[in-house]
Amino acid sequence: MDHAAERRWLPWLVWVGSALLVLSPLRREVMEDDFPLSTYPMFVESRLRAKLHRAYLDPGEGQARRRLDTSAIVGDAQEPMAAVMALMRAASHKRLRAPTCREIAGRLRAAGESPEAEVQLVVESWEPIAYYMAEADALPAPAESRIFARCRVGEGAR
Amino acid sequence: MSRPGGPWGLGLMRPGCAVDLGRARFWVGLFAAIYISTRIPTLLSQIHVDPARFDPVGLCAWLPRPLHPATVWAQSLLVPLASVAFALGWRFRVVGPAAALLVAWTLSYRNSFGMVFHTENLLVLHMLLLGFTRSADAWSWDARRREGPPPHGSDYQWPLRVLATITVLSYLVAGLAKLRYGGWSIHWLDGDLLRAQVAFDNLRKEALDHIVAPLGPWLVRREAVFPILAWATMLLELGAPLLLLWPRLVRPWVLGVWGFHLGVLLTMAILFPYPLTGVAFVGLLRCDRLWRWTPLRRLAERAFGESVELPRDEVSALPSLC
Repeated sequence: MDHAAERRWLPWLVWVGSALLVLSPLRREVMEDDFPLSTYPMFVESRLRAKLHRAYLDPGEGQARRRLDTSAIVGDAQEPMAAVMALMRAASHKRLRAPTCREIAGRLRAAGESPEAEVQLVVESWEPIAYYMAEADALPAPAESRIFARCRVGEGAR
Repeated sequence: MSRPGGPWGLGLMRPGCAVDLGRARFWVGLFAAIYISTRIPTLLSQIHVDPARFDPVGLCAWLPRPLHPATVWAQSLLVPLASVAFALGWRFRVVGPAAALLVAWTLSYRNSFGMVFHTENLLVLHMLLLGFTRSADAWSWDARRREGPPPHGSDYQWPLRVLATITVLSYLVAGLAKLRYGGWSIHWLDGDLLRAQVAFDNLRKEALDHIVAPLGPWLVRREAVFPILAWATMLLELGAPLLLLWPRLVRPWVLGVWGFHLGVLLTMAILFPYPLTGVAFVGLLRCDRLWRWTPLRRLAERAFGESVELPRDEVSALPSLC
């Protein structure tokens, strides 16, 4: 192929190749995401009744348990979605439950929490629209709540 | 009306100016440098993540286990520097591809712990394209050494058209996902799912003691708005490829998509900095008036010498999308 012909084909080749690459996630299931060629699964799932994954610290000795924030869960306050995903993955993969719990316990241990306090990873069932439609003084509670992993702060990874 | 360079208005083979492509490289590189610098703590925090959570994606898909902490430190500190060199167009033949691959690698690694950040897909794809094209022939450190006006030709036009194509097709895939997930139903358009999504996202943030979006809870109580928002979102996403056929739609589309991302920020506190800063649209908009703004132009001239602008008569002979 002469040089001029090659130069004429290159843009088309790159254009077609790039277009096919960006469209290639259409061959996968929507929830089979990847990077940077994404299926863009955000905002597609029905959240009319949704599961909420949370982490709590139960200090014991009759004290009320308190919920843990993003930095306690993933060590970085900037990324709430990373915390959500870490808890979701732990809930759906048994092998991740203990390591995720111990990782959180390790952070709390480093922050000086009592080794006897208990970390609880919880999945709750909520109706998000009903929550925001309710009056502020009568906020609904989760329809269902289940602890899927628990560990002592003292078991936390150093 | 037929257009030179192709029947579909793609204009791949039309002559373009190195200045436009150079500006695109500069802004994408600058964005990458700033964005990744702000993410250094996040990149480094992954050193302490339990290896069981490692779920590699993208360029890192073949990695059997997380990287050694020293490697994570090295790449986290190197990638902002490489992005600065990319933005400046310094020794671009080597630095361009290397920086693009390094950004793609580092962000793939960041996304390999269970959470894929959709805010970074386009940035990586744009950098890969710009890094492997002649995007540093103007508006660059390398171009300071060359005498005469910046060059032009089709080599400087088609990368911008490919950049634009990547952008619009990404939005198309996002739109199709909403139809595909429901088994190709149009249920998403009635607005209920969007309303529940906004409510859920705010509830989730409340549960993590994170910032709740200022308009989210307020908007959830206004049910009638959501079908309109759902239709508008779908029109913007599914209609995106039309820009390649009808360039006149570019400005209203960019404005619409920018508004969409602003809405996502105000109702769900999800920040998409790449489109919100406008950098995601560099392949679609030339915005000559902005670049002629004296302070910006003087700054660019100081950095990149005479390579920042074509003579006026040559500019007027070039096609523009906006």
